[in-house]
Amino acid sequence: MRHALRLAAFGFLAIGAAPSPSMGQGIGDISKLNVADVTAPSSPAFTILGIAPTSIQKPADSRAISTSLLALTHDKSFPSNLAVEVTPYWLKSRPSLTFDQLYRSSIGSTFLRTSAFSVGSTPRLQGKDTIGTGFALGYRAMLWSGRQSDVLKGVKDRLIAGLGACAAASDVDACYAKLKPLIDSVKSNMEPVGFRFQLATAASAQFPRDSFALGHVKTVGLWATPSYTLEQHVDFIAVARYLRIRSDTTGIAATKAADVGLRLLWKPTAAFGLSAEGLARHLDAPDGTATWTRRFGAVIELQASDDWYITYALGKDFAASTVSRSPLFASLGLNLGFGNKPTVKVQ
Amino acid sequence: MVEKVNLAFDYAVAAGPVMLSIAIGDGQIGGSALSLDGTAIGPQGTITNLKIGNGPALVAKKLSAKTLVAPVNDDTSFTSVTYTLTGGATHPPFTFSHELQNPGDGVQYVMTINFVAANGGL
Repeated sequence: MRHALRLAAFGFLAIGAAPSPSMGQGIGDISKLNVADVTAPSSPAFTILGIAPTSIQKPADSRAISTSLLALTHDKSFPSNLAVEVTPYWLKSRPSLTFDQLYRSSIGSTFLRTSAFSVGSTPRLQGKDTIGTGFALGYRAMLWSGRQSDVLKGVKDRLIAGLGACAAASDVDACYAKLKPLIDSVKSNMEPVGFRFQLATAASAQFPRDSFALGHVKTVGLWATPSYTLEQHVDFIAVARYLRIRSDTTGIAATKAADVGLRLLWKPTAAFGLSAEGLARHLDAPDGTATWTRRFGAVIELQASDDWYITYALGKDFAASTVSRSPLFASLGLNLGFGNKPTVKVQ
Repeated sequence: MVEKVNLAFDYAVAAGPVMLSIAIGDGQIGGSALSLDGTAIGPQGTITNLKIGNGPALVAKKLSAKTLVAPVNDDTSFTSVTYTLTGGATHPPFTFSHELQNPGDGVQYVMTINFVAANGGL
């Protein structure tokens, strides 16, 4: 159950300070939003809280997770540093599920296999002070999971033959070690092609001063992401997202945002990507005004080396963009990194 | 490294041919190699409805089925193998699971099937 149950104890220096751009504590800050931001998240509860776990523990069994949860909740009204995601299907062995069935199951089987529940909590911050706890529940599932690519079918057949030969070898360990590149090739090509459809939903609540009596629902979100991937590394990704965010400053009034978008991505190699996308948003503000805005653009990404990335973006921004004279945007970006890829450190 | 799982069971044959299928579960990938009384039989890799021999001729023989599983499915650390024998007195599937101790290890299931006569004789 390596990934069936995931517990992330996040350090939380950045939880209040660095919300996810897609959730953007201020829903008006949408000028930087793109299609990737509104696709169904891998962990809805964490996304709707605007947090990203920095480390994920992989308990050996469910007792380990229970122990961890108890430790987190001991002597506290709320566990405030918590991120757990559970995929119940994978909590036990599934002997009847073959590799091919990962890609060829019915809608019902795919739904059961991919249903994942997430729970997250985070300190509610105001400046540097903790003034309560934010808590979220999330759920996601895939309805269509795509099919095996031709590349995967090829390397899989070679791996099966190799494993059969190694099974009969006198030195199985040495023989298996030689299959490592083939195993890695299978794992790196497991991304399905064809049609996929993922749903996700999440809701967050806030408990000022850790009081149940003061608790209220802060955000509700619903995501749907249908996509189609061609063998030629071309992705068509459509997204629909609905968010309802209660305002902290205008009582129980809420802002409602509905996003729909489409992205076309061509990524023939890991180092080069070309994409075009459009995103439209319908916004109902707490004061009763309703607006439609849209953004479209194209992006070229080039990875010159492990540490050098060049991006060029061109397009038209949302009406909320800070570019007042012309809504057209163009940017050339150069990112340089040293050493390992940047990560947020737990403190 | 390869983790080892040794298994054995008796299978009561009947008058007809005995067929074997080996299925790898938990969304993992595996390949098998067979030998009957020390002599390699069948293909290496996928084993589906492979004729092992006629029932009476198999009595008192041992089939060794070695299956090596590569854990490619990162959603789980379980591996499992199901052996389905047909043509005998009964043919329920025999399923065995093993949870990896170290991620990335392979698992070798070494199954010994002892063919016996049904009810003491045919």
